[in-house]
Amino acid sequence: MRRILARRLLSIPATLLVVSMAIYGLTAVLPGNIGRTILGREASEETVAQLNHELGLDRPLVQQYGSWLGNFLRGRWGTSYATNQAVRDVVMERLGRSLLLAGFAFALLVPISLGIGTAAAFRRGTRFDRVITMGSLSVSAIPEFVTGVVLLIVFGVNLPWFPTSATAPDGSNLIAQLHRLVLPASALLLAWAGYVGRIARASTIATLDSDYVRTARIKGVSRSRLIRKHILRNSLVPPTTVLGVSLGAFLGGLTVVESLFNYKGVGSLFLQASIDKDIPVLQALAAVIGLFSMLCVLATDLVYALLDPRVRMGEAR
Amino acid sequence: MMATNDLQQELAEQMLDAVRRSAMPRREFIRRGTVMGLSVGSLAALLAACGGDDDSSGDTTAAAGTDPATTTAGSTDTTVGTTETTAAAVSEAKGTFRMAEAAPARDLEPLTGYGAGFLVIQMVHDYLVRVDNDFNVLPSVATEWAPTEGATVWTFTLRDDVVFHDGTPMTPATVVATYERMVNPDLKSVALSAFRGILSPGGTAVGADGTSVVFTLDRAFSDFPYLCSQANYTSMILKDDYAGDWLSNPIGTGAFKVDSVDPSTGAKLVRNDAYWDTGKPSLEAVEVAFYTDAQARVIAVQSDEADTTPIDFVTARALVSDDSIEVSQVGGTQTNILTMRVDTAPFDKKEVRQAVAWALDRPAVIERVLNGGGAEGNDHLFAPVYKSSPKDIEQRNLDQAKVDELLAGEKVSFTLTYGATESASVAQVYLEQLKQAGFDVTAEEMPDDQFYGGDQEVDTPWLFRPATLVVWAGRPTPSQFIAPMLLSTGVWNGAKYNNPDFDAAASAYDASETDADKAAQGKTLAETMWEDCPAVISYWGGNARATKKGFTGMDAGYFDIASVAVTD
Repeated sequence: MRRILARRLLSIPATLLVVSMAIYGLTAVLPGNIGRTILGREASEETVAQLNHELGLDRPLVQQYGSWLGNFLRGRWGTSYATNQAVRDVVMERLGRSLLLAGFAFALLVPISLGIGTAAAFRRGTRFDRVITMGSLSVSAIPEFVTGVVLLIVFGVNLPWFPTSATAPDGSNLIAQLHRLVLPASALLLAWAGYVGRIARASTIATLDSDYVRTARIKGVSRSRLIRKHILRNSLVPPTTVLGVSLGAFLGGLTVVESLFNYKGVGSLFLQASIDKDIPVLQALAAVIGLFSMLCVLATDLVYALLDPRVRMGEAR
Repeated sequence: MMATNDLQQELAEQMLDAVRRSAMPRREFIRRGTVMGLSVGSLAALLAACGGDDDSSGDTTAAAGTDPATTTAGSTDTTVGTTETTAAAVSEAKGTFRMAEAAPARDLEPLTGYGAGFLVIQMVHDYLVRVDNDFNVLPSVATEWAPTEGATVWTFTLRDDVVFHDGTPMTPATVVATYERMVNPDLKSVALSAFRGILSPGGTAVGADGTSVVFTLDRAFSDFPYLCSQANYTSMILKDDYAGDWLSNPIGTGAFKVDSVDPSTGAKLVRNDAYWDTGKPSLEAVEVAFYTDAQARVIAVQSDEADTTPIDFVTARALVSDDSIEVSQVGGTQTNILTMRVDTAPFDKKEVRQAVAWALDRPAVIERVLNGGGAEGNDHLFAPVYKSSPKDIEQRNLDQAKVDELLAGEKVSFTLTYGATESASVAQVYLEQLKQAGFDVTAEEMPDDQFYGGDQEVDTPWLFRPATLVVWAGRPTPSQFIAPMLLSTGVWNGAKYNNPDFDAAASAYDASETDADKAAQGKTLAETMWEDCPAVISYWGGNARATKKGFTGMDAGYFDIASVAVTD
């Protein structure tokens, strides 16, 4: 177990380095002149060139990257081209909000998706199973911006149960904040619950059909013990992997939901920075979200190893 | 016969006006008021509402005031602007106005900021004058203004009771510092381009009387007051010692004070109880929330989480049937112009340029590009909303017979160049219509920064391709379009248009000191543009805003937040 943890932790910096190089390379080849974008079309070419020089954008790409990386590692994340704010302050403030939304959505997703998937598997072939299967498949096929708008219109406008703006006023307590996050978290839930639920269903069915479950039944193991010790522990392994990935994806994929629900997290910041070609912000976001995704994968591996002794044994060999 | 109370009120008004003009000491006001039978308490309340009194508590239960928006003729006759006093406006500040606005793309900074979110700064500051949606110039902290020496020297008389939120008085020296800061090339003010060639460093000074400011312009400019209004949005008055730190030190003279501001989320503004415009603002507070998504803003208004939001014309149509929402639409001066190089084939022939203009179905362009909003353009730079816009020039529209007659059987081929993001939708409509009219036209689409990149004196596509589509942001005066775009000396003369008579007419327009002169010169300019047709202007954009019912004074376009009020 320790070796798994150590190996995964060691791989994170190397992966992040590759990610940051890829992001830097991609942003560098994007069409457009940053100086021109900032100063507007009416600026002279000379002024644009001067600004690009001041920003270090006229240096070779490798040199730019090295400079950015060195500063980033020392905590100097630079200043936003668009808003002139310190990038680190903006990103960290937004990150806190997005983690709250992602965490809340995840807390809803785990019991609901595993619950409906497992319940459908135990009632395989019944009307309940068909409704759950078809319903979850249909809902997860609808894009988040559609489900989001429907949720807003139904539960924000027609039945004004929840605020349509997810950003809580300063000083709001956790309950008030979570109340505002119900609709955006529901939009995320609808996008993912069907997918995770279907995997949980398939996995549970496979477990129910396995020889050791049949043997346990023949041996007279009680139903509750059979479910807890033999079925769930084994059937949860595949959906756990998907859930771990989904948590990472929540943070990186919040752009639509955060914009639609006016939530000031990293997703809406990513969108704005992309529009503005705000490279320092984009780089910092990519690094932070990349790190979070890798930590999610690491956590998933650890949970996977805890659930499945074969993983631990395999690593030990 | 006037009732006693009415008479008292009338006399009190006159005396209050005298106090405002410093023609009557406050002590004298109270003495005469008591002689008239008014109580000391009510007189004190009137004085407090009159403004400038350090003891003013902001109690707005009774306020006699001057309302420039309703009491001034709003003439653009630039010989004089005056403030008149009207009947007492008794008001009570109440309510919080919640605005859902687009998130700022740029720093919230008065000198260098622009675009979304800037209205927060505008609500905290004043301009010398204001402009309404009919392009009338109205008094603000300047009560009078007049040109001399052929509109090359402008004198603005200032109120003497304007104070910043921290208690610092606004003086003529403050205004001089503000304008000198804006025209200082080292500070990269957004307003610098508006003042280019009109006002230079050293051109602003305190008047000899000590209560006015004198602008000595680089050239005659009859529309100069517009540049001192919110139409030239960064020309707001800042403190003498403003150091570029607006977010941490947002001090203005405006109707509202900053309670909190965050460029990411929004701002909370509270009433400036010591505001010079007595009885205003009518609201206790304004809350601005920034939204990234336009649809989310509309939903916020529909769900009663916000009271107003700017909208596009599609949404305006959809909201017309919503009984709880008032939709306001006003004309604007932003447009997308098809510029043709008059020195390059095939556009070196006037007939070809005119044929292009007659080939466009303008109502269809407006329907497809603006979803029915906006107004038809007529190939001259006087948008319908300008006071000097001529009304009696034949409106161009699709006329295939004229196209055929002008081309006389010649097959005309050309390439239309444009920026992908900002002009693709307009280009698509133009390309279809021009092909249908018989032109052999090819699209050259490029990224916007490539389109606007390059050297502006040598090769930048937007100024050197034979035919281009260029988005022009709205401007408060037609001269600000004409001077850079069509004068022979214009810095962005993409048509390479060179007409000495036109140049002379433009100079005469800028030097005209009366509305009549300006209208006459404007008509000459418009007719010349229409005839020579170096550019095709098929539409003018506009603005729309949705506001919950229950408020008055909130319009799309130019609005005065001090005049927004809760209806009873």
